[in-house]
Amino acid sequence: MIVNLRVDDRLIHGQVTQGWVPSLHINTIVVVSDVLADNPVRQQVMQLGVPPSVRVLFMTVTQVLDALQDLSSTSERVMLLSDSPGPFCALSRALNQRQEDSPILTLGNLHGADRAHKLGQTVFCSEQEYSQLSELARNGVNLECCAGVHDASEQVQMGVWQESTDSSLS
Amino acid sequence: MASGLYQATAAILGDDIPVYVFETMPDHSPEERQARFEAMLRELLDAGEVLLLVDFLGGTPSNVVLPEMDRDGVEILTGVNMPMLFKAVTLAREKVPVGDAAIRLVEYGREHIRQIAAMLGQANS
Repeated sequence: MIVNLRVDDRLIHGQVTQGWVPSLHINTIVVVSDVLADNPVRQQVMQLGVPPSVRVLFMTVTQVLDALQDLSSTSERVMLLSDSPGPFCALSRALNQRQEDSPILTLGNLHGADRAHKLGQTVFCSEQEYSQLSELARNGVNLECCAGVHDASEQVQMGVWQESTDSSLS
Repeated sequence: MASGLYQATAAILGDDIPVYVFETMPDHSPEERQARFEAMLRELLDAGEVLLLVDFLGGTPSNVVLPEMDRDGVEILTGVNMPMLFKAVTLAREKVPVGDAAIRLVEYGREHIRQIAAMLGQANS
């Protein structure tokens, strides 16, 4: 089953492998990235620090959509991991069409000079990403900000786009 | 952790140790972080070989340095500890080639993980 969707610009790193994976009993991480799915060298590097009990798959958005039935019904506990919200928009539409509940989407880490809007302590987004997150929310995805597994999670309500303001706007 | 290790080592070996600190800033994007690291590494490689010491495999620091592992004159070690860092300073001052230094430091770092009670013959079975 798909246990968690995670957006983290650091992708596979200590917070994920040492915190979220054991906490959620994840045994399969699917990195959703059209770019990384085509880069075996980066894939090899990213897998070096993953515990041997955890399988890592690299899939394009299309491949994830094609495999959605299998990922949803497997007894493996799956985390879908992306470095930005966009790849999850198509997924949320597909889950909607299948009338399936979406797993919680955890926004872990998003930073950068072009990410002006603050959603949480460690989560900032661009205008385009704000639109993507708004679409996810409209598709029934519950959004929370939470970097480390022991951090308090903050629920995210999508409102009107404004740079450098809090996220909770009506 | 890197600046803490540096300060502890400099307090013992002096400020002129050939040790430099790169810490991942929480508010940088991966691209900004990588660019900052690459700029620092290029500058250091102009002066000689570079040994990269990171905390553990799979963390953000190791993700930053691993793309450089095939570069000439660069070696990467994980699980850095204080004895390893002290020895690395000695080997750098002796101008030991970085490949040889890396092999020796893995062994040296491991050797210096000791249970004190066992050393004193007082360990529980």
